Amino acid sequence: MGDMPLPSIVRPHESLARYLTQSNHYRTQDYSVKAKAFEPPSDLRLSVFRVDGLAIEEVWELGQSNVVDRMNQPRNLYGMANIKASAVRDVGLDIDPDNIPPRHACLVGWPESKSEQMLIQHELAAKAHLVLRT
Amino acid sequence: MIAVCACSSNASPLAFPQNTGVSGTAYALADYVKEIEETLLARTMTIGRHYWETRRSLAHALESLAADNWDGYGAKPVDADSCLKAIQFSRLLPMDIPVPETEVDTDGEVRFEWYRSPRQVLSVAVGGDGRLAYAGLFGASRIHGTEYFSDQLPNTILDSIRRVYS
Repeated sequence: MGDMPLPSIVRPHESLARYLTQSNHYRTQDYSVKAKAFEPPSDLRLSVFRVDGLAIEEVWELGQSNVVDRMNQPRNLYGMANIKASAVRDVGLDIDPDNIPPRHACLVGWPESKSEQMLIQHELAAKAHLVLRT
Repeated sequence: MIAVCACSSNASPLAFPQNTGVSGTAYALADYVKEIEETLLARTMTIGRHYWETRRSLAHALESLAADNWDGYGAKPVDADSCLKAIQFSRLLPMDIPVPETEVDTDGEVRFEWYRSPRQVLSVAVGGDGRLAYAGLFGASRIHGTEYFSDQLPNTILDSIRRVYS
């Protein structure tokens, strides 16, 4: 799967996938992503995957095996919120390409304040592109 | 029989009054009024639609999100105090405001969202202590902050909700 090595630094134009495992994280009325899709967990490391160089089926396979199949509850992979690395940095976050598992990265640098976190979620959602799995 | 029953007025004439009864009879009266109110609301969904929609959403959330880690990423179970405050919040919303979407955050708090487009949107998260964390986008403008509520909603919140649809 996409064996091309990824650079250790995430370049601005790289695409990042936030996999959508809940149907209430996107809207089909206008094909938009909801802010909730970018809600950080308590450790403030929001999981994404670097998907440049992958075919769309490989993107879904990556999400299925590394996200959905590892959850402790049955979930569906509905799609992904696709966002450029530059858009993430524009809202003041950074990207930690930990590569565990391969292609994984975390959006880090979240503020402590809940309202500031919510604002960033809205900004990310507005800049993200919804891709549904068909 | 005299029942002492005080109702605080709300900034909006369309919002529901909050009972602050002080005697046993007042509590009984409050229950009776509540029963009548719920009957009326059930018949006229339009009047109490914020309240009913919130109650419906939260009833579902309490069933499905009551366990730890419901999202697979370590989410906390839905917070009962936040639910109660969220219901109180919904009762204070004036009728002219559209019914929001109701969600539960991973910290267990209830979140309301008013949405018109990706850059015309407002979210309000309700804490169990009445704290309202809010954030919104209005075109190129961005707002966020924290307010508290008890028996009436802060104007900042109401104005921001209306701004979504202006």
